[in-house]
Order: sequence, then C-alpha cells, then structure tokens
Amino acid sequence: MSPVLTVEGLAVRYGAVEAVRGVSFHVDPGETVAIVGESGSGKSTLAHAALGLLPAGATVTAGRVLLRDTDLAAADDRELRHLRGRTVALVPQDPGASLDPVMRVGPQVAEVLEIHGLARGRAAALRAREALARAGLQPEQVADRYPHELSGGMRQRVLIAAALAADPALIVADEPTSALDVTVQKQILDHLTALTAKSGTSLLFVTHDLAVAAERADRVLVMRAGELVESGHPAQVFDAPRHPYTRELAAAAPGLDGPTARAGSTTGAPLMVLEGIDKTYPSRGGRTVDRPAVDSLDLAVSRGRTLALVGESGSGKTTVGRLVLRLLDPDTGRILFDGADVTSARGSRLRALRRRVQLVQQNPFTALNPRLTVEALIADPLHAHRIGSSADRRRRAAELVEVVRLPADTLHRRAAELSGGQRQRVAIARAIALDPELIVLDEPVSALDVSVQARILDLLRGLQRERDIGYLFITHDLAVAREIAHDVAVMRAGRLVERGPAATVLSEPRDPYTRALLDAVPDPRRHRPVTTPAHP
Amino acid sequence: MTVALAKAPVEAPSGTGPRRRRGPRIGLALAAVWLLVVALAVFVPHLLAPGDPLAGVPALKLQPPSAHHWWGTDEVGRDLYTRVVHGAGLTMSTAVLAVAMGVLLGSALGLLAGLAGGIVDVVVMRVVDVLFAVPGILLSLALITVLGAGTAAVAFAVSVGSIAGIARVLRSEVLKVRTSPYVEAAQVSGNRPLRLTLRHVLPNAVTPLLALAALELAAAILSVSALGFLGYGAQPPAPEWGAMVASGRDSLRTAWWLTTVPGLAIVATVLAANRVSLLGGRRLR
Repeated sequence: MSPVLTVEGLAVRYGAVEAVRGVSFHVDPGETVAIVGESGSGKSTLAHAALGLLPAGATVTAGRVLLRDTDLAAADDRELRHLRGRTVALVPQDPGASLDPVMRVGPQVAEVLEIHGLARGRAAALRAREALARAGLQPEQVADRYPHELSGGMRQRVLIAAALAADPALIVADEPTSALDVTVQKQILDHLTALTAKSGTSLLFVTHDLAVAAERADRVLVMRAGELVESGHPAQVFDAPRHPYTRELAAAAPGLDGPTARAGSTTGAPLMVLEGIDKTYPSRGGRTVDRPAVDSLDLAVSRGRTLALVGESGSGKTTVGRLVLRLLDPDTGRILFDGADVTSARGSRLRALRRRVQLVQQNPFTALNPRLTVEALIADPLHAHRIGSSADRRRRAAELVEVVRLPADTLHRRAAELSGGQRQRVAIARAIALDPELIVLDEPVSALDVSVQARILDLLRGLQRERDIGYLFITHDLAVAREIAHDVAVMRAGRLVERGPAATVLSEPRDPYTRALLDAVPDPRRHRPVTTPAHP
Repeated sequence: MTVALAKAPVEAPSGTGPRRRRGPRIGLALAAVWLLVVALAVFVPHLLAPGDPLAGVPALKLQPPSAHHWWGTDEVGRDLYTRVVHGAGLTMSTAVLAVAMGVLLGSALGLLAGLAGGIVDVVVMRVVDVLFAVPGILLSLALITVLGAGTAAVAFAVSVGSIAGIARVLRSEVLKVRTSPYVEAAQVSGNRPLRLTLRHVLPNAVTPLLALAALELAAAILSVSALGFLGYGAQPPAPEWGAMVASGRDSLRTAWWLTTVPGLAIVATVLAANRVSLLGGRRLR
C-alpha cells in the first residue's frame, strides 16, 4: 500500500529565513511518526505543510508534498478543503484557543461531518456524540457544554474527537499535550495511540519531548535548524543516536532512570518553615463550598538544599510559593524564617525578609519588565533596597550577568531581544542580586526547550553550591524534580501526600498518587509494542 | 486559505497578509501637511501673516476675498486671513491645555482606582460613570457658569469632559499590568509601593493612554471652538476660531467668508488631528 503522506525534498522559507531545508520522509498507513525538535527547528512548519496550511509569508522553494496521490501544490482551494478533515486532520497545540468559545462542543464536532457532507442534522449530531465517546468523553455530559466549561484535557479530547469524526487517513498532532499535566498527557496519548491503532489511521506527531516521541512512535524524525538530522526506530534514536545533536537531546531529556542527581545530604537547619498552613480563596457567588487551596500544610526548606514541591495544576503548589514569598497571607498557621515568625510581617520587616527570599517565575516572557534594559532589571532589587551608588549597581549587574553566563553585551538590551533561556538567566541574576538565602522557583524551566532546560538546571545547581541558597522548587515534572531536588514533597488538592528524600520518594513511592505521577512520566525505554505497518 | 506549496517560488496571496497595502495614503499626507501649517501658525504666526490681527481699516470693511485680502475682511476691516492664522494659537493652546489637564486628572483618578482597589475603586469609578452620563458640552457649560469665562476656564471645562474616558482606560491598564508577573517580581525584589507604581506599573500602562490623548485633542479643539462660538472663551477683540464664526453670523447673507473660513479651519484641523492620532493609536497597539 502506498504511503499516506510523502514529503520530497521540501524547502520552506519565511522571507530570508529558511525554516525547512530539503526534508524528505513518508508516513505509511497505520504508522505513527514523531517529529522531534526544539523551538525554531521547523517541525511545526513541516506539520503545517502536510496540511497545506502554511501561513501567509511562507514560500515553498523546492520539493513537494503528496497526500495519498494528490500533490498539495497543484491542488486548488476546493480540493484542499475536501482533503482537510477527511483525508488529513489536525489536532492543534492549544486546546484553549482552538475551539469556538460561543458554540457548544457537540455541534463543533458535528460541523466537520456536515462540511464534508457525510451526515447532517440529527445524524451528524449522533455521529458527533459517537466521536466524543471514542475520544474518551461522556457525550451526554459534554456535548451540550461550551468549551470554557471543560478542563484542558477534556478540550483536547474534543479536538481529537473533531479530528477523528470524518475518519481521516492521517492525523497531524502538533504538540497535542504540551499544555497538559503529565497524568492527563498520558491518558490523552494512550487514547490517541489506541484509537489510531484500532482504526488504522496514521499519526504524524510533532513534539519537543524526545521521551514522549520515543515512547509512542514507530519512527522518530529529529529536526534541527530546518534539517532532518536523524530518523529511525525510537530504540535506536534514543539509545544509540548517530547524530551529535540527537545525542545532546537524549542526554538532556530528563528521565527517571539511574540514581537521583543529588543524594540527600546531611539535613541542615530548616531555613523556612510552614506550620499548619490553611488558605482558602474566597469564591464569588458562593454557590459551591470553597475547597481550600492549601490544607493544613507543614513544610520546611533547609539552607543550601532543594525541596521540590510536585503536583498537578490546581494542587495548590503555586499558592504555597506565594505564601512563602508573603504575597498571600495564610488563613491560619505560622511561617517561620530563620527562626523568626514572619507570618504577619509588614513594612520594614517585610522588606527585610524580601532581601533574603527571592523568586524566579515560570514564564520568562512575562517575568521581565519590557521597558527596562537587562542592566536595569538586574539592578532593580539593589535600587529598591537603596544598596550602593548607581555606579556600584552597574558594576554588580555586570558581575551578575557573568555569573549567570550571559554575554556582556546583553546588559544594554531589552528582554524582547533575548531568547527564552537568556531571559530566564536574567530572572535568575535578578533573584541572586541581593544574595538571598532562599529562592522560590516556580516552574522555572517548564517553558523552555529540553537542552536549555538542562543548562538552566545546571546553572541553578552551581549557584546553590557556591552560595548555599535554599531552593523551593515548584514543578509538575517529576523528571525535572529528580534532576535538582534533595527532597521531594508531593501535593494533591492542597494536601501533602508524601514527602522525603528524592531518591526514596521517586524510586519507592508509598502513596498511590505519587506512583500515578511517576507512571505518567514518558519513558523512552518503554516503547509501545511495535506495530509494524503491514507491507503487503 | 493560502496555498503556498509549489515547485517554483510562489508568493502567498496578499489577501491573507497581516495588512493589505493600498495606494498612497493621500488623506494621511494631507492631514500631516495641514497640522504642520497649523503648528507654524501657532508658533510663528508672523511668518505666515505679517499683519496685525487686531488692526482694522474701517474703510475696507466686509471686503470679499481678493488678491489683497485673500480671505476678505470683517465688519471692522480687519484682514480675515491674518485673524485666522493668529487665532490658531489661542484655539490650539486652549485645546492642548484642556487635554493635558484631562490626562493629568483622569490618570490620577484611574491610577488611584486601579491601584487602591476595593471601596476606593468603586467610589472613583461611580464618579466617573456620572461624568460619562452627562454630555460633555453640557458639563463644560455648567462649569463655565461657575468659573466665569476666559481661556483657562474653558480649558478646564473642556478637560472635565475627557477625564472619564482617560480614567477608565488607565484603570483597566493598571489592573492588567498590576497583576503581571514582572510587577510581582518587582514587589518581591522589595520595591516600595511608590517606586513600584512609577517604575514598573505606570510606564507599562500609559501606552494606550497616549493614543487616547491624541484622539481627545481632536474632540477638545471642537469643544473649545464651540465654547468660543457661544462667547465663553477668549474675549473680543482677541481672534479665536469659534468666536470668529459666531461674529460672522451677523453678516452671513452678505459676507459668507466670515463664517465659512474659520469654520473650515476648525473642520480641517479636527479631521487632521483625528486622522493622525488614529494612525498613532494603531502603531501603539
């Protein structure tokens, strides 16, 4: 049987930038192919080319894309519309932005069928419900709801239902789970692979996560700077990479094998202690009973050590970070810092605390004031505490830029001119400007590419060694926690379910929830049973 | 949808591009040139019209436009062209002053409401709602009745009309910026509230305000002229566009140019200011 998708020597450019350079590959019927690469590698451009959906401004300079036997270049708009949804369907990246907010979910799925004239009216609605059921949702509960009433995972399932509705031969999934929690990611991916296996649909799957790709795909293609640098069976790509870049990616991908990065050392004196903390956000309207965001929590962070606070979205872990920073006040309980009660510190006492406790936030794109230069950003805490003359502060900023290993010429640039990794380094420089004793790191690497992630974690470990800083490291990613934490605390629905040395918690979890989290981490060595596509 | 797949290089159809280029923007160019001329009239009126706007030759009253008096003369024989040029300064400076006061007062209210929140926010925003509910010109008239006529009074009366809009826009921006991660980071860095506001919140919240202020200028020119027309602004014999339109009404039948020329000057300036500020607003967004 001929391939569903054939890409031959494809080259795409945006103005002067070559996004894809001479890429060839094919997807056989029933096969799952993963394209792996970091941001800017051209992987999304490739996926969009397969749909004939290149954005305006993109130019195909060479090569061609064949969908079954149709050359997408030769097809006109009508033919393309006919192909999309029916022969090839897309599961987009962001489930929040990809559904029509003012249309009920059922009709949105039925729309695909009506557009292609496969069913209309009641028949279409019925088939839409079937598609929702196949995507693992309960149609009677979901079909009449609006997208905002569903969780992120449910919305992603709706998008999968819409993609599957017309039984396409090929599904293109562009980072389908990168916005979701690990356990939800696992469910969605399990479901997607099971569905495609059952119906013989091919899956072209774009991801930045080599581990996810290796775990799920029959074949992995690695892209870098617009070129296909390696392709092959996942076991081979991950365990015996041929190209140096793949080797780097495989090494950077945090996994759950081997010893934990950091053995639990002697326990230092606790630096920050939370005792019996409760926090409930008042809800508006008050129809539902308020569920506490944090429920009688005890936690301690020691000097020079990292406590990873792990949990899924909504578990209350970010609230804990904000309580520690005194951006929120607890309803009950005490917060002790270095032995002193700071639960209700205000004014100068609070400012004194802020010299010693700092923050690095999740999204480096919104964490830096866009109007200020890097120098002003890094010197801002010094300025706020009136430390040194302006010449001193400039000198200090220059030193700090070196400490976080940024080139010296970044000092006079603004955040918008820097990459995500560079911005996060600026945020780290700002956090250590005051020589704090504790830094709250709220998902500091979750918005970064894996190789950048590994370098940032490396920097953080180095800083901790040199400066004896305590880290409260908030993350949803157990593999990342394993790379940096001495101790791990697992949160669920506002409560701690398990805590202890990283090695113990991550290798012999006692709580079933911790075990579920661990199982959900993609494991590149747990390849799914290889379903070699039948070649008659 | 764009089909940009081909063997040979193919440009994507322009229809789906971010902005379609139309022909040369004649309207914008004209508006810019007109504002330039108005600026000249404001700052160096003698360059455009060397004569004295107040000196009239009674013998030459109500002359129609001619080579000697381009736009004719008024009822006491003063050159209308000279008066319109010199009048630009009065009208425009009053309008600019009005916008400046409106921005100052409006942003103070907006900042207060956005930063303080709670009951302060509620009270301030209800006051703003009341201001919005009363038509601007009516409010201005009421204020002038209290304050008396004169340039400063007119400027203040007009500014009150723009306070509400500016306060609302700044409040919403401040609310948005205040909850942004970088402001939280600055707070954790130990910034005091004043420094947090001036260095981290305000600079990131004012951009839409600038666009709005530019738009308000056009409205302010119109309001100032309207109040001048009603006789509340600069007092005779000082040349002021609105007042000139008003005094020309008496001889509308015989000397059409007395109302038409200053009237057209107002219309052209308002349209030009509007056009240019719209462009600025789009840029800033």
